[in-house]
Amino acid sequence: MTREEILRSFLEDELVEKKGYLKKSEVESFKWTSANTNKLVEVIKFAIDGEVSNESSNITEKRINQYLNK
Amino acid sequence: MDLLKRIKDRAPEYEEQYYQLILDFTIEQGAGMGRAAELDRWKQGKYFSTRYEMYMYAALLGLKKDYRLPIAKGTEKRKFIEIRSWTPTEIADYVIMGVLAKSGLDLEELEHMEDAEVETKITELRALLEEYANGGFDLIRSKKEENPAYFETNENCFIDLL
Amino acid sequence: MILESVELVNFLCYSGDKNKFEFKEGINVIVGDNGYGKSKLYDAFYWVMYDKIFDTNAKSFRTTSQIKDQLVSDKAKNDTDHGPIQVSVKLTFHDTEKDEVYILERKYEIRKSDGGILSDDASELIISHKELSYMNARVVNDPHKIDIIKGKILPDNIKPYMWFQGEQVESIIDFNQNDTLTQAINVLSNISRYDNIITLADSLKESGIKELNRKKRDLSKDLTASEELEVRRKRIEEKIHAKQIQEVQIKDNQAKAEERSERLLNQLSDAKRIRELEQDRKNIEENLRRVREEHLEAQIAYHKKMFTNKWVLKSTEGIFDDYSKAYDGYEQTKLKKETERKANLMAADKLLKEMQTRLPIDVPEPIHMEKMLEIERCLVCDREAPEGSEPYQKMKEILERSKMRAQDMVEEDKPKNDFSMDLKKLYQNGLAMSHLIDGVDDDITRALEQLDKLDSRRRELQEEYDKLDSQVKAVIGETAINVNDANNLINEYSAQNDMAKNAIEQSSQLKYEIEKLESELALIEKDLTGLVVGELPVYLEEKVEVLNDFQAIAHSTRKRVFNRLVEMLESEANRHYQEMTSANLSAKGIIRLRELSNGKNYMPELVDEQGNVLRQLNTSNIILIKLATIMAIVSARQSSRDTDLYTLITDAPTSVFGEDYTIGFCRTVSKVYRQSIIMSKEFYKNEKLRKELLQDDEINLGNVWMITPSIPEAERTNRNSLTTHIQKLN
Repeated sequence: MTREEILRSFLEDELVEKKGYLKKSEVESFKWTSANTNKLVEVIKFAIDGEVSNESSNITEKRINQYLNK
Repeated sequence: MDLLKRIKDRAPEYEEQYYQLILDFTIEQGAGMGRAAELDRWKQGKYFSTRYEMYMYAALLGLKKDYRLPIAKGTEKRKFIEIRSWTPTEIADYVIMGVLAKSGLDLEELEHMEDAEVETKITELRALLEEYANGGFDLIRSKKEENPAYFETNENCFIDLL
Repeated sequence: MILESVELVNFLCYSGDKNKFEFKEGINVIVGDNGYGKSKLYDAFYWVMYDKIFDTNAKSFRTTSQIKDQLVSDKAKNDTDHGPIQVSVKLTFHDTEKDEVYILERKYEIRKSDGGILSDDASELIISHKELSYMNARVVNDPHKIDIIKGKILPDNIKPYMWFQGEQVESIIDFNQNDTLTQAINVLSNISRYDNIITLADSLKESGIKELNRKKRDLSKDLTASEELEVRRKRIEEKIHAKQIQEVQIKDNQAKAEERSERLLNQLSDAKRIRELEQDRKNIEENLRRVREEHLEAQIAYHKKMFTNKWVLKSTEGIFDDYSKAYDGYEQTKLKKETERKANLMAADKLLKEMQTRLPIDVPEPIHMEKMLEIERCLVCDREAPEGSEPYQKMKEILERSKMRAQDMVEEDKPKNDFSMDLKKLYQNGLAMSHLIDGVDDDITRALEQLDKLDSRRRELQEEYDKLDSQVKAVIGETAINVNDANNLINEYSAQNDMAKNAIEQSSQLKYEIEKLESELALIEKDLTGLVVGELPVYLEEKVEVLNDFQAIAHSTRKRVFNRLVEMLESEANRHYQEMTSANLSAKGIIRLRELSNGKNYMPELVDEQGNVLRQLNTSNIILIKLATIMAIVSARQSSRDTDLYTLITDAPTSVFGEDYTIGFCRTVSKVYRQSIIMSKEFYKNEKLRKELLQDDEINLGNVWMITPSIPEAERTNRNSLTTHIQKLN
């Protein structure tokens, strides 16, 4: 599975639409590089990146916290 | 004096050569009675319980096929039990009846004969019975010689032979 | 990777160095009867890769150091008096994408001297790597590289699904063992990535909340109250945590109890079936015994009937006819003579009567008559009657007349014996017998018919008995339940059932308790927030919300992805199952992977179109479901990773199900696996099936080999000359 495929599998979650992060139509065509200011999407991307590149989970956690602390 | 009693007091004989043949199809004397003995008899392929059964069979076979075979003088013979002990009596009587019929004896004349003469005739009747039985044994022997398996593979052998 | 060939030297029954099998893409089949060397070939593959072989008696693997000289062909041992004997198996793999060849050769040596055998403790594996553009192969010594090469041939985690023996199929996917199918899904998918992300999300959420709580305390107007609330919260959180752990355990127990009672339920019906079959078998056994007895009696009676039913008189009517004529003649003669005698008597009587008309008898009295004769004078009429004269004669007549009777006057011809009673008795007996003789033929026919009837009844019952007997044995063999176990099964089944029910009650109680604690927690949370003076940082509240959502999404996504994998596996398994069973119309059902109540594992089961579970599956069904699931794991994996291609090597996978599934199995295998090597006895025994295999369009057929031992197994007390003949069939 590519990173984008993994990302989409997360974004398919009904909570994403329910909480207004993305619309269903947006999810279907969502690309890894799609511009967005959505914090949840970014967090998921950090997590996927870290997992796929075999990064230590502590580092990924740090990255996400730094991102959200802004 | 009774005719039948006098005939039945005789003990017919058969040729020594058929002794083994009779043994082949008859259980040993004294094998006992009862179910176990019967089962054993059947399993051994013995079709007759007694020698006289086989003897009656042979006589009837000879009578039926009208085949008698005089026993040549000097032939070694075997005696066995008197006719009065043969059972079933009806069959024994039937055999005697047959021999009497075949003998061509004038029964009326017989009644007029002196005792000694009657005795002679009765001896002749016994000899005639022996001849028919001898004929029957000869038929069984030749069948066995011709096809030894006949009596081994066919449950009906003795009935079919009739 | 394609396995191009295997070469065996003095390995078990493959003695000598001329044993080579070549393989192609598609399904390669090794055909041979039981004991011909199929499993030994499977052992050879396994030995090269793992330095051990499967001992079917011990049901476990044994290493070279345990087997030692038993690895060596008996013929080779017998032919060598002195010196070393080499055993080796060489596998040649071809990586067609990179055009590289890997040669794996395992060697073992023993030495014979003066009747004794010295065995090496260990075998040696030599791996050579050859790029086809170069001619020379290089021996690979780097252990790391060796591991990589072995992994290319067969990674450990998929080994159970690629290399297996028929009898292992049961245990590869042991439906009753915890999370086997989940493990399989883990192997084939990248679900572990989602698991890792869940761990990350959980940890992020936890630290986010901690951070928020710290901030709240910092901004508290009543630090003591806040701290007190903190302590309470911590306590409640610990309680919730403990109860959650308990809940998981209870759900585990519930799932186990459900699984167990399900299995017992299947066994119950098996046990019931065994009991019923056993009862039927006993009934038939009793019937059979009776009929046998009756038949025997009839047979014995049949011979006795020669005399009891007078069959011996069969067609002797002529004898009676002859006697009847003779007897008739005798009676006629007797009758005639009697009639004559009577007539004479009558005549004499008449004469006497005539005489009586002259003078009554004894008149004159004899004494006077004698006087008259003496004096030769009739005193009645007083006349001379000299002796010799007529009057003298008349007088004498009158005197004698008084002494005369009619019988005396008739000439006597009386028989000396009377045999009439005896002769009549013979006649009557003959007559009675002749009536019987008329019926003898019919009687014999009837008796024979009765015998035939009994005999055919006996045969029928015997056949029925044999059938039932083998059924009982088969069911007992399949299920390993004997009749006596049935009651225990019922008890254990209800115990497990109760356990599962209790678990449900317990977990709903726990759920209620947890909910209560959580609402307490919410109140504390509210109180804590109420103590905050001033504003909480916006970013922090937003962060906690995002991390909360991230955690929820991570969990539900993992579940969604996993379910999708299960669905895919299910549809793949069904595809293979339908294909394998297409030749057998009686095989019905759809494979469904049912999630267990603890959510940790899945159980394959067969359902009908309405979704009702089909119970009482036979061994064929169970094995086919397992094979279909194994194939699904492989084929589902292939669709996601095209390059992952390994050779399926399996010994006797088809022996446990019926021959009508064999071709379907081969078709499916040749589609799922790029290359496979199947050992089978079905194609040996059934020539029609072999022909089908060689001609079937849907089977992508590789090479088919037939192996035959030089000595038939039955005569193999001495294996000293045993070799194996290898012949290519296509």
